[in-house]
Amino acid sequence: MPSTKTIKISEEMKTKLDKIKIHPRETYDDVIRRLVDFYEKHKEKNIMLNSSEVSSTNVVSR
Amino acid sequence: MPKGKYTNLSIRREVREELDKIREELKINDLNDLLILLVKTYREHTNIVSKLDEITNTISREITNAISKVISSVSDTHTNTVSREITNTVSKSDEPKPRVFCKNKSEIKNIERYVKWLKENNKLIDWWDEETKYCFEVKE
Repeated sequence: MPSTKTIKISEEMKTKLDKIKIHPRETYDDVIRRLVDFYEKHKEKNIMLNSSEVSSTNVVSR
Repeated sequence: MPKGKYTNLSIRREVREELDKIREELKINDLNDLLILLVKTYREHTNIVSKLDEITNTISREITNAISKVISSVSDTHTNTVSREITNTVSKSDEPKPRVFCKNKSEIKNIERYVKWLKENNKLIDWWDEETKYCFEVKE
């Protein structure tokens, strides 16, 4: 079994992650993995938004 | 740490490491900000893709309809042209052409009988008396 880490996220962020699930049983790990893959795939196309547009309120890492 | 309801999520260590790597690349201090950015960008991208799909489908349908109309129009034009050509051909070749000829009265013993004979053969269109001769318009 792969080793895991725990992250603490807000209910609001959890809801956002729920909305981008491909299917209801997709794990949050898979969803976040997909977001990471998406970033890796598109970062050279410079499509990532300016990070200053977001605020630091939803997630606290442990 | 902002107030509110929070929940714990377990993610694979490698995923967490990837997140940290991206966070450093983008110079984002908090994992919070990174997840917001990733979700926002992902949703915007998928929305754009969805809209592009919709536009592509609309354009595709319109092109298909336009092609169908052009094909239908060309087909109708072709059918009408062929139909006209057939009609013209039939009218030119099959319709008997009228011809006028005249005969001296001395050549015809009995004009009534001669006219009757022309009518019976469905050739006579018209005939008239021109002093010394009879003239006939007939179908060839």
